[in-house]
Order: sequence, then C-alpha cells, then structure tokens
Amino acid sequence: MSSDAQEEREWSDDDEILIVRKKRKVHHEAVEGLNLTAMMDMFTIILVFLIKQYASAPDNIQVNEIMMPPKSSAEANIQPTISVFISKTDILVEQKSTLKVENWKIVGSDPAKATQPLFEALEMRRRIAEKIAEKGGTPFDYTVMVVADENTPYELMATVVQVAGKAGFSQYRMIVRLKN
Amino acid sequence: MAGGGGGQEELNLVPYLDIMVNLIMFLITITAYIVEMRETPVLAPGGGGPCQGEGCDDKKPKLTLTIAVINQGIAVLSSDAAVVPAWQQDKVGEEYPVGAMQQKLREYRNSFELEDNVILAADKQIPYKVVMQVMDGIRADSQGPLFVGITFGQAR
Repeated sequence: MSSDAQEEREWSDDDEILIVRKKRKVHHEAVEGLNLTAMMDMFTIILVFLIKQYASAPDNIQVNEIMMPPKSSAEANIQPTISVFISKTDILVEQKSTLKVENWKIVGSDPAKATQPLFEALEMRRRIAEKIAEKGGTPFDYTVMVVADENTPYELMATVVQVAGKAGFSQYRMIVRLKN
Repeated sequence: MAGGGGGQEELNLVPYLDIMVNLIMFLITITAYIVEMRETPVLAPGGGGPCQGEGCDDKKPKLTLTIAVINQGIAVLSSDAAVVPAWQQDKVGEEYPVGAMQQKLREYRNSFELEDNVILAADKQIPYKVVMQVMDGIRADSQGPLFVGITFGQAR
C-alpha cells in the first residue's frame, strides 16, 4: 500500500511538472504573437490629427530676428490676403522685395519717389485680385495684411499704410503675436 | 504530414510603424515651436472720424477722439476741446500710461456722445510695439469694449 501511495505521489509530482511546463509554453507563445493592429490604428489617428493641426496654422509668416511682430491681446484668427512685410532690411509685397530699408528709413535718392515701387507692386496685386474676383474667383475685399517688426518706427508704418491706401486698399489687418 | 509552406506571408508592419513614429515626433516638435499669430483690423485713413454712411444722424454729430502717442507719454484730444477736455499723462521710465488712458477713455465713453472710431497718431520714432500696446488699450478694458475702429493718423 505504501508503495502504491508512493507511486501515486510520484505520478502526481510528474503531472505537476508537466502542467507547469505547459503553462510556460503557452505564456511564451502569447508574448511572441504581439498584435500591432491596435497600435497602428492609434498612430494613424494621431498622425492625421497632427497633420490637420499643422495645416491649419497660418502660413508664410516666419518669425526671426529681423521680423518679430509685437505682442497683442487681439484674438481674431488670420485671414490670408495680400501681405506686406516690413522688416529691418526690406519691405516685401507677397514675399517679393520692393524697397530696401536702412536704419528704418526707405533707401532712395528722391524721398518723394522712394515709395513708388511699393505703390506699383500693391496696385498690380490689387488689379490681379480684382480680375480674379470678376471672373468668379475669390472675392476681393480690398484688404491688405501688414506684418511688421515690433521696433518699426511709426513713421515707416504710417508711410506704408498710406501708400497702400493710395494703391486702392481700404482695410488693413495688422498681424501680431498672441500675448500669453 | 508536411506542415507550413503554404499561404501568403503576413504584411511586415514594422517599417510602416517606424515611419509613423518619426513623423509623429517631427510634427509634435514642429507644433510646439509654431508661434501663434493673430490679426487686428485698422481702418484706412479717412475711415475714422464722423459717421459717413447710412443711418448717420447729421443733426447730432458725435465727437471724435484722437489718441496721440508722443515721446513724453499719451495724450487724448477731441474734435471739440470745449466739450471734451484734452488729457495727457507722461510715461514713467519707458512705461506708457496705457491703464490711465483706458480709465480716461472709459470716463469719456460714459459721459459724452462719441464716435466708435478713433484716430491714433504717434511721433515718428515711436516703435510699433508701443503703438500696438496703446491699440490694445483703446479697443477694450476690463469692463468691456471701448472703441472698435482705429484709424492710423499721420506721423507727428
């Protein structure tokens, strides 16, 4: 009887070892079969979200040491339109340099005619925008977007705004950095 | 019994995930450095001043304020000094008295019939950032909107 009991005990020990080994094998197989579908789904959603957020950011307004708009509490989002950039070195219309600036003064031999290139560039852009609107394109509201460095003297700002007014623009939007 | 060897191989997603992780990290980094920009409207010279459209009551002309940012400080002038007295306050160091200007504008707003548009002028060398601070102060104060339309005047 005792030998039967002993045999039974040994059998049960072996059986236990087999069960433990089987569990380890099952566990090992579960680790190998990692399902990437859920992670891929999550990454795709995050990627689409970030692309949409990046795409909605205003474009073509680069901030650097020669072009740092002032801070303001204004909250209106930027509506893209014809742009005039006033930096420490240039005045640009739609990213094209029209006037050179030195020590915040327009470079030119004749002060009365120094702003003529700016006037001509703005007038040309206005005519193009009017023709596009006539042909059924984007409506033109005679608005110009002015992006200026925060240290721009008021005299230069007022000159640019005045020239834009002569070129036919009736509304101006001053671009600023959002104040935190 | 032979096993394996039949059927299509599974698509290898590891390179795809690698690209996506890189793109996500790139976009997160870019988004963190995007400077938030806004716009503030300014009227054309001549757009401020007395009402010039339909609905204007010519029998009761409203007064127009002019805010001048000068080297010494800020001045508020009206089109009729006998009705709305002029006001001026000097700056303290490099700080312009925008708060005091707002208080005075609110007082004038509550006491007199004024146009919604004001004229903003500045000395030639006043930096744009100071002009923008004053513009923020003109548009609204802690009690709400003050003057909606701002027209740039001539440099003094």
